[in-house]
Amino acid sequence: MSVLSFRLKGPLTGRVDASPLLPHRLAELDMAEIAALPLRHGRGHVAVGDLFELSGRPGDVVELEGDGRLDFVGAGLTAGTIRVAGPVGHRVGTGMSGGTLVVDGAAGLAAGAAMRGGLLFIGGNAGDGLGGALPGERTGMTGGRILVHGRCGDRVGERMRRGLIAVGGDAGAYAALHMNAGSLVIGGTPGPATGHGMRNGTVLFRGEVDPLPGFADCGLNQLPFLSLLDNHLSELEGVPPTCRGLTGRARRWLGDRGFGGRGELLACL
Amino acid sequence: MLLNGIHIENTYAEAFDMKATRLIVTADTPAWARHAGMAATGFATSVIACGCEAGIERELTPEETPDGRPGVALLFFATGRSVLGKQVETRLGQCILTCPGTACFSGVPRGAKEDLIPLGRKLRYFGDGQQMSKLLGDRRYWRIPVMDGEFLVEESSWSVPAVGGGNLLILADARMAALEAAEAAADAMRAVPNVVLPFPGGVVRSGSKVGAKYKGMPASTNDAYCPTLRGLPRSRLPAEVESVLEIVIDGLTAADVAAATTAGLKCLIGRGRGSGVWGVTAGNYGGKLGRHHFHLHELLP
Repeated sequence: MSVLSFRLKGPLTGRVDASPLLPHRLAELDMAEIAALPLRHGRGHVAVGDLFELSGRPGDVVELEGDGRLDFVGAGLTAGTIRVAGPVGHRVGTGMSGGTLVVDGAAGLAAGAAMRGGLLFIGGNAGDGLGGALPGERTGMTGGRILVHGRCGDRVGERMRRGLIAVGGDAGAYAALHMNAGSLVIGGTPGPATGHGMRNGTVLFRGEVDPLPGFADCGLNQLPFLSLLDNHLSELEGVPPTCRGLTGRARRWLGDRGFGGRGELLACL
Repeated sequence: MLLNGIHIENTYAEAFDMKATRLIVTADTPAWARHAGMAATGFATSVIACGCEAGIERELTPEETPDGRPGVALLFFATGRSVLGKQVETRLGQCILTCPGTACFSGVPRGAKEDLIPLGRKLRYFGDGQQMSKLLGDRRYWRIPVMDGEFLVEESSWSVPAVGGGNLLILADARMAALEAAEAAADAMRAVPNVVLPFPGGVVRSGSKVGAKYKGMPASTNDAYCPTLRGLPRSRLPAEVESVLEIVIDGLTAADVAAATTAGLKCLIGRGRGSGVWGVTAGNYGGKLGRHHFHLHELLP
């Protein structure tokens, strides 16, 4: 297992596009070529070696020192592992289809947007558009798993079609906006207008909620699939503890009927 | 060969290639899982007229099932995948979906596309548009609204190669002796994993031969082993045998059928001649019909 490490030489002075730093791309290059790779930096470019101290050997693991201005980390990841010590900027893991991306800190906007597969783990909070759709796209996430230990912003799981998002803390407004299918587990309380325009899929949460008028209250139910989901979550590493321990009983709302939808909001006991 | 006073004939049971699948049915209590299992594997003694052969393989503890509830493992055997699929589909819909509190899962490893046995894949339409699907890992489940809550069923199962028609014939002095011996042997054989004994109580009293003197009869009574005919030239029974019972074994592999055969022989030989059993033999068709031959002398305990 060869690890290639990137240590920041100093705080970033502008936003940096880190999308070229994917394990399988770097594995084909030697250290000199990697150091010479141009990264978009603000309105210009900068070489990798000017921003980072490199160590280790190119292989299937990349370790990065994080910074809130480091954007597109692991965007388009297909295989291998990227570990980030510290926060990342916007669009971490956007469009990734495989591999593992672990952020030991907070993430900015649109983390895991348009994700197709793989695992994205965020140790801190995530911004708006987590696991959502890229602007103008009809579908958001179509596979994979996103696990966030902290809170997330607005529009988590927007236009999601498949996959699993588990958020340990509270979610912002418009969670599961126009959701098509998939599962969104919120360990805390969802924000206002959760499930607006939902057509299918499941939003599970632990807190109180006052659903939109388009949701039909189906009362308390015993749902056998919840124990299966709980087993599934217990087999995964890094699931926020607040998302665990589902009893199988939940209050169920069906909607958003204003959009002909039959998704469900489940307030789990 | 005489063992503990019992004649073990030097012959073999002839068994066939089949297709099988395993379903795991869970419910709120072991009794309700059993109800579903009994119904779903009912009328499944022989492919001659039931479409499939099936049975409850064993009961499962909550720790052994996908949803942590008590359950049963059911095995279904048929002559091919499409017949098996059709049988499983109707039995699932009529006997498991209908049974209070049940859920149903595939009990075989994920297989190839051409081996697919639809479970929820077809049954979901019972939900009339209100069904929901959930993908957990690489397994898809369907949730169908029913009057007691929700029926949870895995989308698909898969057919696996299997062996059907292993058998033992128990020759005894009297009907009760044959029955008690068959009961004891069936209990011992049921303890072997991956097998079911598809007949009522695991035992067949109307063993058959292929063909008949009447047109259109695929099978008819096995007259060579009917004690009331034992004076006829074709009879295979000695004068002291007054009753014969057969145990039929379906298993996932030849090794499983062999293990069950050995378990049955061990039980019968252990009980000895004093139990009223005169001998043990097996049924075959001269080796022309089935690929698997289980020689009794090779499978002695």
